Amino acid sequence: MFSVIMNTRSRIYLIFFLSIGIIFLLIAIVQNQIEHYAIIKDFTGPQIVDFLDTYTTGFPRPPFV
Amino acid sequence: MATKQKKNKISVFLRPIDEHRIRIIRTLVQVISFGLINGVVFGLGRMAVILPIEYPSGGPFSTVWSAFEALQYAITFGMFPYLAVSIFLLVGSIFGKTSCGWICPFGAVQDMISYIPTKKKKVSRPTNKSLGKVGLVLVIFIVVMSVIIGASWANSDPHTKTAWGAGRDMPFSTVDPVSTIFATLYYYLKWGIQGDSVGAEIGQWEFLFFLRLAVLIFVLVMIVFYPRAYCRWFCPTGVILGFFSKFSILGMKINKNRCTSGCDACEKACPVQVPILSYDKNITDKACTNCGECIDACKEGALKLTLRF
Repeated sequence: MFSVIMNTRSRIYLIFFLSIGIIFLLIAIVQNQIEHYAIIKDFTGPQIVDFLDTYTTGFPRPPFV
Repeated sequence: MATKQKKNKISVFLRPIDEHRIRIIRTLVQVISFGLINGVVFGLGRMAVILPIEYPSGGPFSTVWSAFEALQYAITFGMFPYLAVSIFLLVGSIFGKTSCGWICPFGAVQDMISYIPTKKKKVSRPTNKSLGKVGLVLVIFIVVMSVIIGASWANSDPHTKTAWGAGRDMPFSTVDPVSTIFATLYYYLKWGIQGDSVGAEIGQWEFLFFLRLAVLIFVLVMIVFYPRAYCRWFCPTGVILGFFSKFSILGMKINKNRCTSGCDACEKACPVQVPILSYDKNITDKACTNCGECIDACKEGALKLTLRF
């Protein structure tokens, strides 16, 4: 399935970056970083109104939002 | 005899499908992923899942986080973005820029726009390479800006960053044309219609909104004439993923023994102007999105998408 056509330098880079990626993913899991992004789940919460400012600044927002 | 004629008729009928089989498969994948990424329309829930695509996480129907927005969102809160960086590292190392060509919603929009019948323009190779650095400058600028916002947030008491205005959470999303298309314009129209005031409040528009629209119009006009212009020159996600193209597991491979006619049909078909014939084996260009247009164009079967190690 794999063609052995990558040169050694590329293979070392690949293994290095994959390893760093896995280590960072494990650190993110241990630190429970996913919770930081869970804001998006509760889209009606008061926090999201602030979050949406990024997209909606520049034109008037109606009072009911 | 009749059976043979029938077979011939069928093969003539199926030829266009056979000639564009990768494009057909890719379009199907793009439509399905567009639906899943906008899954709130179909009742799917929003998830804290990060994908390396260009799409506003705060979009009205968005189900996932864009990795570049997630990166900014962590940095501006004084955190090291382990999760976002790991997604870039893992997806980039395994798939290269394949997500740009196959699942990115704005990539799909750019492909649709490229069907507008205008004479497509090409830029010279040095210009193409130089313009690719615009995205790199953008990435550096945005990351530095996010670090400054994050540092000011961490050092302020109580923690606040309101002084940074609309870009306090994700600086790039305040002018990002993708956010403008999929989020800003939607909210503007929805709230405008609900409040019965579309156009009426033109005097209340702020500079940022004009800037957003100007950037969007500029990018759209560019895409009409230069296919995938945003992808290859400006997209920050594309720049980061492009870094991994040199050694990603999934990638394009050319077999020079099969490439005998010397035609440059593959290079002509490539939407991002990769100099395919200048490569001996692996096509490791930073701009290549593994879209497979070159595979469809090559009549000699010299190109294929393959797993490399």
